Amino acid sequence: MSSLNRKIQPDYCFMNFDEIKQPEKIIISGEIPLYVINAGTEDIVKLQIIFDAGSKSDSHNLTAVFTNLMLCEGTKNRDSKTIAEELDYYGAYLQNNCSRDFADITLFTLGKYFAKTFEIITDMLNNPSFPADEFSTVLNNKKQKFIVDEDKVRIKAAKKFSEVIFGSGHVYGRNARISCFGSLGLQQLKGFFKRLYSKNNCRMIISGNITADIISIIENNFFLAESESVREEGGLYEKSQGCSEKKHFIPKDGVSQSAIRIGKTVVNKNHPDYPYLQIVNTVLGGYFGSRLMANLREDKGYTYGIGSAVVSHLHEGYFTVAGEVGAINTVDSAREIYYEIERLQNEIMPLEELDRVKNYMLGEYIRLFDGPLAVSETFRAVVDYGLDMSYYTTFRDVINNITPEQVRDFACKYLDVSSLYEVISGKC
Amino acid sequence: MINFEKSELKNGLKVIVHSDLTTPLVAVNVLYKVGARNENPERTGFAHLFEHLMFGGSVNIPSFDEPLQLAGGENNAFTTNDITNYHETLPAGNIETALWLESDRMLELSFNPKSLETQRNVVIEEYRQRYLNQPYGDIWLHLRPLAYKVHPYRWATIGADEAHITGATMDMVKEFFYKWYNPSNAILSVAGNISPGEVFKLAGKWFGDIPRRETGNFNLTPEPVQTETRRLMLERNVPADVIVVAFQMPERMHKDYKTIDIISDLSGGGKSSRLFRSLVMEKKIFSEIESYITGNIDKGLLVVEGRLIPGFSFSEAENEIFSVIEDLRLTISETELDKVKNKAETTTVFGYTDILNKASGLAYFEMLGDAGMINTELEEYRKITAGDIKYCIGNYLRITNANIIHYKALK
Repeated sequence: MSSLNRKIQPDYCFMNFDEIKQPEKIIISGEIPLYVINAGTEDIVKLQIIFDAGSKSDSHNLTAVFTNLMLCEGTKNRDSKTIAEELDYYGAYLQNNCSRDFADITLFTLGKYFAKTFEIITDMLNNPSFPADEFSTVLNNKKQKFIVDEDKVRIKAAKKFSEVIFGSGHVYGRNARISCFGSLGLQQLKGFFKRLYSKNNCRMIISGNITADIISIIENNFFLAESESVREEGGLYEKSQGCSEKKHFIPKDGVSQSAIRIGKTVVNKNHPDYPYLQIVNTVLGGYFGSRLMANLREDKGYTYGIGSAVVSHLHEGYFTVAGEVGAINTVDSAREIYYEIERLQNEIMPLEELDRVKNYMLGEYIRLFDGPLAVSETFRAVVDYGLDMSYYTTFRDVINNITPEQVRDFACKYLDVSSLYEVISGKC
Repeated sequence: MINFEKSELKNGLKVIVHSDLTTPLVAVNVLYKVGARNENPERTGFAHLFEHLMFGGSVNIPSFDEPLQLAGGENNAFTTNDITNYHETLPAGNIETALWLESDRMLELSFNPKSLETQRNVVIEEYRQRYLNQPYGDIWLHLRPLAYKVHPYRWATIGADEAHITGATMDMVKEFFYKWYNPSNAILSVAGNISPGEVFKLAGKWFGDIPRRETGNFNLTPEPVQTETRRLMLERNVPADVIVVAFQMPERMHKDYKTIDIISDLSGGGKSSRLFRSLVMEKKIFSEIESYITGNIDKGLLVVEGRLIPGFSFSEAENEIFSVIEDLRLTISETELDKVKNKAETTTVFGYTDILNKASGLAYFEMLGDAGMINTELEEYRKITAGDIKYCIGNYLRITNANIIHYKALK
């Protein structure tokens, strides 16, 4: 035992990956793509049904999210209570998500109950009844939750941030106001449903222990109406126009912390620079050992956590630094964030640090493909953008080959400090 | 079925391995049987502060995170009232980096003064972020001392007083380490693409020479049975009234524990639950309501928490909650019981598709007495009858066993 040298890290290495498999693609009902990820050891099924029906597809901010929510509140065959009880009886879980671009319904179920639970989902998507009583209850309850969220400095800053970087009237910038809850009606939801929850606007991802039986259940039972209108295309997209004022402060009395957002619009996943920008972001604030965490948390103790992210919407992306900091450290924290961004532009980063970031990202890369649930998330993140799994092969090659000089160059290209917006909510 | 093998080193460290060859990764989990319940009442928040210090460098290794990141790993940790738990996931071939790091910080910390100073500040920011700067964030800071009069669950893991954190000295840190961070007070569990034999060999290599130390005293005074309703009114600048009703419930290994867990699902676990259907969707008294258990080793709580629709009074809301519970006692059916058991099955099967969940689950059950419980829990839940539900509602969900907070909105 005395020969054990605890000062030196044991050897480590990275295995060669096999070629990443593309999910099998099956066409359902003449035109709906179903992507099949058959993996794992447990008898589980995750089925995600995705529609291009996010909040940007309607002029009212809340239409998309409530259309999606109301699918669970009643069909021509089942009322709200029956849907909830039947899904629970088979132990199934349902998630509704609605973003700026997309809406989805995701079913988590044991394989042995797939036929039963899937039938409920098809009923929801084919025969929704949009019942008025449930609608007013759900609307009022979400309004109450909205009021609570509006009180949080983090939410105030996040909303203001999207408004200033994209423009407060833009589809990626605008946010719901309390008054929106009063002006939403069932007719809007019904119209939205008819327009966008259609077979020409849908794709599905299924993952887990996917048997031939499960596929044939879907093939024989999944139908959606054809939409009257044509699918919305990128050509209609109007590019964002940020606010002319760069710095915004939202005061709130009596707070012990302020929320900070610093960032701007950038390219999205479809642009070849995106992987490079992701790596720059990781160095700055994308992992626990990042420069922002090392400086603001581990060195100065200003915050419990601070990070940065590069996020994609379908037509544009954005970069953001986000965190909550002690109110008395608000000004100092903002200064240190700019300092760290500028340091990426003014200095060539040490090779040792870049190696650590690369290895961390390669580890993350393996985690992206660990098990059917992870693979389905990973695939979803590209298929929405018209990309496939080769995106990840390219990303991995960029990680392996990027140099410190490139990190600096991409930081200069995208993160010029004079182009950044700053939103602070709280106390200065 | 989660297969595992178990071994124990001479210094008392228990090692559990689950081999899963379908993943390229491995998860390493180290559980220390120390949490906020083991703290001195004058120095609360220490177990959690200590968790932060465990990342500030150990006796032979200046940084915990950097070598792990070099090996493609990620890690995190959490502290509860009962345990402190650390974990890493990384490519299976690089497992030795995790064992090297975990064993060195079990051997001894570097006791770096700069780390103590910084982490005191970080923890205070965490306290502000989680408890002070969120609407309703301080409920648990008040609920604990209401529901517990004797037992150390009366304070939160973050601590009872900021001064306990700011006043932490290096001597206290050292004392805490030697008292609790002892191989015989820890469980190492590993799940992933590796054989049990290989893990046992590597565990011996890295952890085998850590000396056995004497662990602190575990004897805690049990919380006495509650005999009368306790109430607290809080007034805050929040948008809506919230009511919390917390019932004392028995300890983790008590025969009634699982029944009460099931009751919390029946009453307030999701969209088909009794409280949600009756009070949110039908009577529209609450905009949100749920119930859950705290899941503690010692006597825990079943908590009902709901946000009122403006216009309803606390007394109406409270009466409605109790009448839904009484109705559950009178009308519970086998079908309804099967429903929550089926949900428990799905949660279990989905939860164990993840190697980290398997590793931490094995360690947790071993801490309770037997890692094998990970495979028998579900059967135990299946055995619960409608009669058990009726008995436990009558015995535990009674008004004289309730701790009630009316959290009043000033706006």
